[in-house]
Amino acid sequence: MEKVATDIFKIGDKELSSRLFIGTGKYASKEIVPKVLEASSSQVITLAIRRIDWKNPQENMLNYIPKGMTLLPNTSGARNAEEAVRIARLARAAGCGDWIKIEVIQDQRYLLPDNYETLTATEILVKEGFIVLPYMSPDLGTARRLKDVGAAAVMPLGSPIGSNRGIQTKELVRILIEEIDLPIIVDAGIGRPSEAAEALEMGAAAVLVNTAIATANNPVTMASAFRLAVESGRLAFLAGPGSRQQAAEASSPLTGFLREAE
Amino acid sequence: MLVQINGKPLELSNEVSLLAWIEEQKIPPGTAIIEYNGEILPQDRWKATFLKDGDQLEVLKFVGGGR
Amino acid sequence: MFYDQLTLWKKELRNDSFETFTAADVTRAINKEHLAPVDLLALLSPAALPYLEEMAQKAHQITLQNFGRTIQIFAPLYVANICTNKCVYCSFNIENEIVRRKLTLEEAEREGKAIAAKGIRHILVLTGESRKESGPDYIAACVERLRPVFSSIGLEVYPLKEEEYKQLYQAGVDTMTMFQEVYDEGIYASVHLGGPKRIYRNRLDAPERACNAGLSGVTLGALLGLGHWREEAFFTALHADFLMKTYPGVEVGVSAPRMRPHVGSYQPQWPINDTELVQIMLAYRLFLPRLTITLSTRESAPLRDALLPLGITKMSAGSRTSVGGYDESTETGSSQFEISDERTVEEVTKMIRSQGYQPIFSDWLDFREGCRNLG
Repeated sequence: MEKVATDIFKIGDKELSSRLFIGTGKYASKEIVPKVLEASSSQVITLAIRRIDWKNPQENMLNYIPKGMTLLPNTSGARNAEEAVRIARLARAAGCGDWIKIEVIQDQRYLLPDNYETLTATEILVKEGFIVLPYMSPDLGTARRLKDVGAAAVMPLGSPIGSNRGIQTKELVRILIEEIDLPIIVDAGIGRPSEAAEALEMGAAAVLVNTAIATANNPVTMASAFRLAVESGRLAFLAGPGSRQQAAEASSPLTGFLREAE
Repeated sequence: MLVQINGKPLELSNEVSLLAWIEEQKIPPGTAIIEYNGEILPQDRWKATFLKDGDQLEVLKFVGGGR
Repeated sequence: MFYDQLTLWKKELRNDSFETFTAADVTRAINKEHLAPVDLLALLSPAALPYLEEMAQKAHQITLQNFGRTIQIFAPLYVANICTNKCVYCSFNIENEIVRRKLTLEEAEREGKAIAAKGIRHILVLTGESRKESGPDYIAACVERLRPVFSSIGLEVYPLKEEEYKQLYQAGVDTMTMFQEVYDEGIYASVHLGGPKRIYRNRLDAPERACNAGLSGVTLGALLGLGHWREEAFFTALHADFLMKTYPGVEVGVSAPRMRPHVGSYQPQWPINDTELVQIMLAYRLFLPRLTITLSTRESAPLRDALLPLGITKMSAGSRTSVGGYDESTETGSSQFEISDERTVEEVTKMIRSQGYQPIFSDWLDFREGCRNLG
């Protein structure tokens, strides 16, 4: 188990041991969020920026997040690179670190990200010293360019946001894992712990889960389930799964000539 | 004087600093983000910045988010 | 750079590393869809020997999937054999008394036409290492003469600078072949006794310079016989994998040249037999499904015929390794090594068809300005 004890990964200058990132949206009440975070053992938490609610000016998500967590504000609401950059700068002004998850969405039907605008925003923000984690459609060419412009990780979607449909983009995500020398974090679409385990088994560095926990009947228990699934998937990846046997096919021998020669 | 705050007009009767106004709204200063006439205004400048006629203000905070 | 990866793996590998693999490691590697370097080690280990047939079936199947039933045909053109190196295994060694020649541009063009007349459209231009006699300008001039009759021109010459690769790319070169000969630095030093080829890094880094210069294909190879073959094959495949990942736009291939009889008395220290050659080629294919694998006329006709369905994608045909060997009126210089498969292009293509494969003479169209006819 030595390998496991030291199984950490790095994003920017932070070393992380938990491979479960948690989103804080869509909860029935904010009071449950700290309990979910505790049950998940997560170290990276996403949040969003909105205008202040004058009826409830004290209210702030930061009040519900325990100290020591790495905050990953997202640029949700941005429809192009320019807006994403503006939101990122605002988030940093709050003094909660320089991590940013780029999320640029124009398509309101499927909430699929705009890779081109995402790349543009990533390039600008890296130059400004942000640790940039772009959310993207799993496209190899874009992922390569994101790496080239200095993204700290790549966050391909498993299926459309909130769909809870699992990793429909499995083959494309697998290619990113194989080809891109950055942590690949599967974001969006993971609806069940088994799907989170699958992502980690494939070699994903981490997963980001929100809806699946927030909308469970018992979010705290579901957070524990995801923690265990992510650990299990990661262990399986480290252990190196045995191969699936392929169906035997009767065919004429191809190496018979070697015996004839002897 | 008339200022725009989060897209809505607001009439202010007397001169007030940004910090005083934020406190008056019962917003804990450490948690808000202010964009003042299109520029992000760091918290250490709130005290010396006085609202004037025509100012555009965005007052923002962190909310739950994730997907 | 690949050298960094090579250094890391050198530290990792021990003398007995290949002995540690079991039958289970081998079957796991065979059944995997995407192999890691450790799987490649297993396939190259002694434990894989009883599984060659299984490896062959898988190699055959994934080659069909990726390349179909096609074999690319090419031929080498030696334009000069003047050389300043002392490589113990090579006829062109400066110390060997052989007939040294360098083709005039007219002769190079005539040789090219003689090759093209056999239907060949992909050509590999070779020289010895002499910047004085066959420098980049001379090679570029040859290439410009050859452009009108070939659809792809590859280069197999000494390591060049990036600007020189750019110059030759402009002249019409598409691909390059650079055999490292041996990845083990100690052995490398012991078989390259003199000349610029002594500098290991200059040769190792050359494919990366060529990729940076914009070439579209690179072929690598270790000269089998010079070093511990399991390790040499491992590093060759790792090198190919590195280039594929670093330069996704480049077509990467390998060749598995075995030492052939040559002028000089050096004998391979690690001779490899047919079974071992098969193991190497199968391991290459299973590790890298998209890799092009070249089989030259160094191997005998019956062996080439038998190896064809195991993952080969390119074959030379009707080859001459002597300067001026194609056109009858050209004065001929000595050859680099003895050819084993002496069949004509026609005979080789007939054999390929009889095995149910299509010989491809040109699969490439060069759109660079002023380039060649579309034959």
